[in-house]
Amino acid sequence: MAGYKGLFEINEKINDGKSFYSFWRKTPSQTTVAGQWFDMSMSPGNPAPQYYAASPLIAQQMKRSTDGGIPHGTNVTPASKFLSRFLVMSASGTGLPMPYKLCDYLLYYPFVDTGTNDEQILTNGVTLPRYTDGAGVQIMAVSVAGSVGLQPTFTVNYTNSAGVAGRTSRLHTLSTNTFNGAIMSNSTTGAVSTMPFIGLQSGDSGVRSIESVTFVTGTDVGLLSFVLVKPLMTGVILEQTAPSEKVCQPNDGVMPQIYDDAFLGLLAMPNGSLSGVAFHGEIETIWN
Amino acid sequence: MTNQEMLSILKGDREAKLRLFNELTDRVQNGEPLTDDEIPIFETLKKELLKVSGVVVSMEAQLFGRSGTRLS
Repeated sequence: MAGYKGLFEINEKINDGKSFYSFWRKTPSQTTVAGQWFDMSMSPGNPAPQYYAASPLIAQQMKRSTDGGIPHGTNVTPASKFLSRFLVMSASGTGLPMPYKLCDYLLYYPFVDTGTNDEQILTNGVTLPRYTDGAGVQIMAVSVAGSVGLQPTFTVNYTNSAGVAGRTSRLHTLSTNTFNGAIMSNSTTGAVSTMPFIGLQSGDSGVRSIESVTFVTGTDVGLLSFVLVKPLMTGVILEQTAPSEKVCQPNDGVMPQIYDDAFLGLLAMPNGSLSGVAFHGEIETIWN
Repeated sequence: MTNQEMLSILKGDREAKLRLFNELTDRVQNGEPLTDDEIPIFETLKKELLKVSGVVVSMEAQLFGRSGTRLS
C-alpha cells in the first residue's frame, strides 16, 4: 500500500491535483434521543438518505456508485486514496455535544424480524466488497421499522475475521428507543451495551459475514437491518460555534484509507433530538 | 398494516407486492405522507417491481421481390 513520507509529500500531491474536496449536509427528520447512537445515512440531505431497501434477509453490498453516501472522489486504483481532512459543524446547539464515527458501510442484511423467536437464517450470496477478510469490521443493528419498546434479547451468529464460523455474539437487549435509524443494540439503560456495535464473542475483533439472528427471549414488532461497517475515524462536535475538524496526519497521526467506491456514512450519539437540526461538513481526500 | 404484515408481503409473490405498492403510491398521490416504517418497505418494493427483468423486442419486416412478390 502506497503511503506518504510526510506533510511535504502530502502538499505535493494536493498541488499535483491528486486530491478531492466536497461539501455535504444532513438534516435528520428523526426525533433522536440523548445517549442513543443513530445512523445518519438514513437522514435527508445531500447525499440523499438510503433505507437498507432490499429483499429480506439477503446480503447486499453497499457502494458509493449504487447506494450513495458521502462523496470522496472517483476510483483511483492502482493508486491509493486517503482521508486527509474531515469537518462537521452543526447549525444549532440542540443535541450537542455529539460524538460521531465515520464508517465505511460494507454490507447489510435487510428486514430482520424482531417478532419471532425462530432462528432467522441469512443468505450470503455476496461477500464483503472491501476489507474482505473482515478485520476490524463491526456489526450494527439499525431500526428500519419501529419497535414498541418490549426489549427482547437477541444474539447474532457470525463468521469472524479469521474465517471461523459459528461464533455467537453477546446477548443484547433491544433498545426502548424506536425511531428509524436508531442503533438498537444500544440500550441507554441496560447493563449489556457495547454501543454502537454488537459485542463479539471473546477473542474476536472483526466479522466477515452473519449467518443468522435469533431473538432469544421476548419479541417486538420492529424490523432491523444488520449492517457490517468498518469504523474509520471518530470525533466530537462540542458546540455550535466549534466545528469538529480532523486534519488526519497532524491530528491523529494516521490517514484512513478510502477504497474505491466506498460508501461513507456517519454514526452519531446526540444529546437530544436532532429533528430539523442541519449538519454541514467538508471532506478532503488525496491519493498517490 | 403492521410491520410483520408488510414483511410477509415482501417475502411473498409479485401480485401481493404490486397491490401494496399501488396502495402506498395511491396514498402519496392523495397527499398522505408515508410513515417512517413504510418508507423502507416502499423503497424495496420500488426497487423490486421497477427493475428491468428482461427486454422483449418485437420486429416486423416485409420483403418485395422484383416481380412484386411480397414476403412478410
